[in-house]
Amino acid sequence: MNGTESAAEIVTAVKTGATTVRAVVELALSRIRQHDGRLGAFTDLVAQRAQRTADAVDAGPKGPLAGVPFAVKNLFDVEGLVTRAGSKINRDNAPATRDATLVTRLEAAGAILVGALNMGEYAYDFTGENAHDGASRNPHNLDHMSGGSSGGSGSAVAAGLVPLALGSDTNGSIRVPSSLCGLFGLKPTYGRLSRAHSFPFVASLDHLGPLARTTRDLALSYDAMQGFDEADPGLTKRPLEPTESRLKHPIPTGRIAVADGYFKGEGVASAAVAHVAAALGVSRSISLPDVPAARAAAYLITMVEGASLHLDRLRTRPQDFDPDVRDRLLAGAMLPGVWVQRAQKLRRVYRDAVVKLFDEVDVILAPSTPMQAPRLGQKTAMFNGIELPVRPNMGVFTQPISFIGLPVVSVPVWLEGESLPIGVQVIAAPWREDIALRVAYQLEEMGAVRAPVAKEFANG
Amino acid sequence: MIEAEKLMTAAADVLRLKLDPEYEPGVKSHLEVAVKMATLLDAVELDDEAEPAWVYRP
Repeated sequence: MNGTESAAEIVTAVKTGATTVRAVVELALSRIRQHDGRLGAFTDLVAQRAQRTADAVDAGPKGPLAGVPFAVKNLFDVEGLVTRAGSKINRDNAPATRDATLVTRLEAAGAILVGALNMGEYAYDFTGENAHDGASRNPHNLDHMSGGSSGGSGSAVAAGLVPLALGSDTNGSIRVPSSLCGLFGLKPTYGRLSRAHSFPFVASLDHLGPLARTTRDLALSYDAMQGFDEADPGLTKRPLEPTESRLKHPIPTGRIAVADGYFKGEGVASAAVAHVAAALGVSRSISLPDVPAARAAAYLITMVEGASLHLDRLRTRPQDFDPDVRDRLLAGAMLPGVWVQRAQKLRRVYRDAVVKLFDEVDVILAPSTPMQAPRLGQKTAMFNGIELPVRPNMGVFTQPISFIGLPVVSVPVWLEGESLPIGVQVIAAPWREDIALRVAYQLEEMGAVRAPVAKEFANG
Repeated sequence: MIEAEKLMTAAADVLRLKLDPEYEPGVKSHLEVAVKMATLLDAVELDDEAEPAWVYRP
C-alpha cells in the first residue's frame, strides 16, 4: 500500500489481514504531514485520536468502512476542536464537546477520523480561498482553485491524503470542488443525512455529503451515514435505503436526458456533458422550467437566511469577517422579506414542475460548473460571453438543483487534451440517490469518468 | 436601478448595523445584484394559493 488506495481497497486489505488499521492510519498521517504544506487542505490533525481509534478497530469487529481514514470540513463538530466554519470569529468559541452525527456514524462503521479541513468562510464561497487560513489548492495544478466551499475536502481527496472526506452543499459546495478537483461528490436529497452538530449556513438549503475518488466509496460512506436522527429537525424518517449492493444495476438509456436551455453551457462544460451523454448513448434532451428564477430565488434565500444567522456577528465584529463574505451578508440583511417569501413559494412550484419530469426520465445530466478550475486569486471570468465575478457564479448550474433538494452525483470528466478535470451532474428524483450512484458507477466502469490521484501526489 | 445607497443607509439604521465607509461599495454592489435576482423572481407568475416550501412540521 502507498496511501493512495480507495476506501474499498483499504477495507479489503484490512479484512483480509494484508495490513492493519494502525498501519493505514500512520501512512495517512505521514502523507498529510509530508504534502499538506503545499496544499492547505487541513486545518487540524487529530493524530492521537486517530491512533486510538485505529487500535480499537484492529482489536474489534471490522465494519463496512474498517480502517478508512477520513477528514471533515471544519464546520463539522469534532470533540475537542473548535468548530471554526472557516471563520476567524468562531475561533473564540469553546471546543466542541461531541462529534457531529455523521462523524459518529462513519466511525461506527470502522472509519478513522484524521482531521478537519479548510473551507470558505461560513461556507459562503465557491473558490476554496480562505481569508484567514489561506487557500486550499487544487492538487492537479497548485496555482488553481480547489473550489468551494468544501475546498479542503476536494484538495485532500484529489491529492490522495484521504480516500474520503465530508463536505457541505448549500448551493453547490460539494459539487463545485468535486468538479474542479476531479472527484465523485454526492449531494444527497435534502433531509436525507443528518446535519446535527455541524455549523449551519442556510438551514432551508443545507446538505451534507461525501467526496471520494470512486463511486463505490461514495456509496459505502453514504450507506453508513443514513438513518434518522432526532437532533436534525429537517431529517427524513425514511428507512435505510442501501445503495452499494445495487451499484451494478444499470439504468436504461432511454430514461436519461440532457438538460437543455439554461443548462446548455459552453466550451468544456458543454463538451463534458456531451462526453457523458455519448458514453451512455443518450440523445434525448429535456427542459426544466423557470430555471433563472429558481436560481435567483436560491440566491436571495441564501443572502437573507445567511444574514439572519450572522446578524449579531455583523453588528459586533464586522471587521473580523472575510470582506467578500461580510459585504454579501450585510446586503442580505437589508433585503425585503417579501422576496424571500416569494422565493419559498417559487421553490414549491418549481419543485412540483421538475419532479413531474421524472415521470419521463430517471436521470437528468447537466454541467457541474461552467468552467474548469480558475487560477487562484482570479476575480472574474467569462460566463457565456459576459465577464462576471467568479465567486458567486461558479454555482450557476448547481444552485437551481440544490434549491429543490434533488440528489446529485457529480462525476469527473477528463476531456482529451485538457490538463484539468470538470464535473457533470447526474441528477435523480428525490430520494433516488441509488439511481444517481448507479449511473455514476456505470460511467466509471466504462472508463468515461475517473478520479485519479493528482500526479504530483500519486507516488507515496 | 434602485437607489442602493438609500436602502443601505435606511436598513443599516433599522438593523443597528454600523457600516464602515469601506464596506459600502461592496454592499451596494451586492444589493444591485439582489435587485436583478428579484426581477427574475418577479417575472414568474405565482397563484394566490401557492404555498411556501417551509420545512416546518408541527
